[in-house]
Amino acid sequence: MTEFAVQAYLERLERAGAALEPQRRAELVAEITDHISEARARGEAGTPAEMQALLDRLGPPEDIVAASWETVDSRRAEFATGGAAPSGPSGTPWPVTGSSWASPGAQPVGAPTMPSRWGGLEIAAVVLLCIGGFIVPFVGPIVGLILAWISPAWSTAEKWVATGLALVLTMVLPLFALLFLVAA
Amino acid sequence: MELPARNALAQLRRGVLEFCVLSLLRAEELYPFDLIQRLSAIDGLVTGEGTIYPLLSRLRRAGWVSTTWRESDSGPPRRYYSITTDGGAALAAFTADWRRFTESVDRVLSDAPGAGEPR
Repeated sequence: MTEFAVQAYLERLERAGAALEPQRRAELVAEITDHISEARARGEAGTPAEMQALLDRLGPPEDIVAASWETVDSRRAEFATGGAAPSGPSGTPWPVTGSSWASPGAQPVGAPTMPSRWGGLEIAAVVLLCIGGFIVPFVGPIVGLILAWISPAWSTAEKWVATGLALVLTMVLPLFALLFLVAA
Repeated sequence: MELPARNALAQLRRGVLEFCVLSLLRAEELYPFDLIQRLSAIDGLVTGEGTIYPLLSRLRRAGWVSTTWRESDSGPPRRYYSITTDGGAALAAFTADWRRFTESVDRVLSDAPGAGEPR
């Protein structure tokens, strides 16, 4: 019964963390798993009630994942939101800016927003990737790819997919077309 | 809907908690389970214990803490956390700012007429 509760909790954490980078999600799940194992080894979570209390103290998995977003490099988040703090009463004068301690991810506070806003960079990347090849063959899509990699709006995995697709479409297909022409 | 005052407290807690962690680590190196137990024993500091893990991850990436893995007699291997020189400097800077800040807030709160009285 406790096993079932733990399994359900960890699965909920996995689901909640779906948008995190895979490495970060795996690390988080491993840390929470170890936390539960440690409590078990100490005999602090022997009964279903004790285990439930432990999970309750850990808090909703969604909250843990939300705290991970706060953790995302604040500069990255600021960049994506155009320097503006996310909605809510988060324009607090706290922490004191300019202090040497105010560096790691003290912001953004407020609702956990994924750094996924679209700006000029993202639009330029997509336009170049889609039709850049017609404007300047080969070079257009490559510039688009570079812009896409610079952008904080996409995960690394998404960027690799985009790179793969762009290479197939802009390099491999024309090559095949060329081969066909030569063969004909 | 959360009361604005409670929300302000939650935001303060978020900003301050990492320095409480650093302060605990200044005394001795700890692994998260023990660290969390100590933090939880202090009233009002921690709401969800699980959120300490992302916080530790942030401190690691800031270079304010360093970690070493050690085997445990019982349970999984433990990742011990200790404070770095950078972490110590950040904590010292924060402590000075915090003292000044709380003194100012205390002064304003106690000056206000009817402060502390429920309406």
